[in-house]
Amino acid sequence: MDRRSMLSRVFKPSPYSQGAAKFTNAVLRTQDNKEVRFYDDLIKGKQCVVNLMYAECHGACPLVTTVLKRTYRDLKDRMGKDVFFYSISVKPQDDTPEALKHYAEMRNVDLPGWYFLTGDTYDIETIRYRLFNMGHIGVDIDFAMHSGTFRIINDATNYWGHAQAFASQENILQRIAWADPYKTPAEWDVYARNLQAKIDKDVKKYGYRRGF
Amino acid sequence: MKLTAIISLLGIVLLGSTAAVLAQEKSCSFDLVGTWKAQLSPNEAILYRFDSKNTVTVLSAQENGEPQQIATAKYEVVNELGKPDSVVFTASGKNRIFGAVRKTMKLVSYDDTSITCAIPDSGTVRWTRVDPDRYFIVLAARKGEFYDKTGSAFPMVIKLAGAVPTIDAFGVYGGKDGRTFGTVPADVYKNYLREARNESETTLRLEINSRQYERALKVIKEWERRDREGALLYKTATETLDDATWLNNILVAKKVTETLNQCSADVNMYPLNYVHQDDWISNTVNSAFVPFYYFQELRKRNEARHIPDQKFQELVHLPNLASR
Repeated sequence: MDRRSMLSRVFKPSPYSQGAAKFTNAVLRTQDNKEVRFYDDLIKGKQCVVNLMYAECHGACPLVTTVLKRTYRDLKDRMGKDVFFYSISVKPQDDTPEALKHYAEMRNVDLPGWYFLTGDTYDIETIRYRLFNMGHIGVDIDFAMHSGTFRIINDATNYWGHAQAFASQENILQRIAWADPYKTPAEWDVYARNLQAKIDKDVKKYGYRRGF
Repeated sequence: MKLTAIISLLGIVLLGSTAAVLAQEKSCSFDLVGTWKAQLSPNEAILYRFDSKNTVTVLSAQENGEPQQIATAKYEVVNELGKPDSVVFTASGKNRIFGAVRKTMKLVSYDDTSITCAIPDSGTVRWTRVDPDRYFIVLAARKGEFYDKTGSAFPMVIKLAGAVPTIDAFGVYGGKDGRTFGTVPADVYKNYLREARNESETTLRLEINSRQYERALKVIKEWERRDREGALLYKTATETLDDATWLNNILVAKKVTETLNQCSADVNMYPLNYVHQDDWISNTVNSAFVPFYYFQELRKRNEARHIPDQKFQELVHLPNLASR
């Protein structure tokens, strides 16, 4: 498979994706003050992990960012190529691109494939509800209730899932893997072998299969 | 196991603290533009007219007679730690302001309708906002209008400039195609301004100030835009079987009413917060009826301020309705 077809495979949306009608195509700004369209530039055909934060948050946000940083390390080879992280500010009125850049640099997470995003309050509110709403106003009205959740999306396969930020690292990686692109039979074979090797290792070391 | 429990507890505490910090963020925006009055005696007052070009005109107002200009000055609001702290005046005309060419007025407190400030050599004074227009909010809801026994529920905000009312309303109403969520047309909302006639109707009419009106109107305009752009916050029926329309309508009712107390506890508010101990409505009532019971509860809590039918009709004369 040449590079061109590889790229078109990776970023081609699923025919079942609801596209911008669901995700919105709001104009946001990255920590580098680059203008991006939420669906067209960030979601379309891509696999991504989205979380909510704000720069001056001293509660859960820095811890959640640390969890994502660890996850980034584990996915390093794929980051910015077929997996992307989007940390969206829920206080866009305070969080300028510069403030988000500072936040990212202070935590050493200004990394390829990880975008800190800000924009218009109206658009951010729409995106927050589209990605994180639980159908319960008591939960949805307060963004803090979502700050410990990652939304996991793969628009190429129309996958939609989530992970809890305070779950085990293995659990988070497993949930991101569930959003991976469809595997070929050969890839499934490799995946199954690796999984069995891990189970065998666990059984040898602990006497049982660990994980999840 | 123990470690997992400790980490989970830590997570809950941190999330809780984030929520608490957010809850404290009720704040008044400081907007000096407009006319403010300092009452010197029952018959005498000083008016301060601040325009958006950083000029203030000071006028002396006697009980009977036209206000006389005393001084003009340039003003600048000085922020400390991101909050308004003082106002610096520099006289621009022949006359001085507060007895000097340049004077700094320290802000002690402010809300939607008043400012308390400390002026060197003059002491602490209180200014009240003078508004030529009047403002109202009407919360109206019905039961049993539609096939499923639900009914209209929407807030209306009214600006009365002279004798001409301008009304904006947004929510669930009975449209041509049945139950509709959106901007309520004039021929519909006219019927909901009147007093409730039975138990399946509720109406609350309150006079509010210009800042409250502007905040409530901003929420309504935002939802009009959401409706227009297909950006409603809830789009589809949810796992809890709540229709998206009702959830959106609860958000409209909640957001519009809660802006009234953004600056100070002016309205006796019902806590529509979905917390079991505080909020019997959302915990016991189908979402479709939440706005009805919410408005009814607000009516009960603010009965003393409710404007009766006759007085309201005298104030808001519908044949004068301004077109939107």
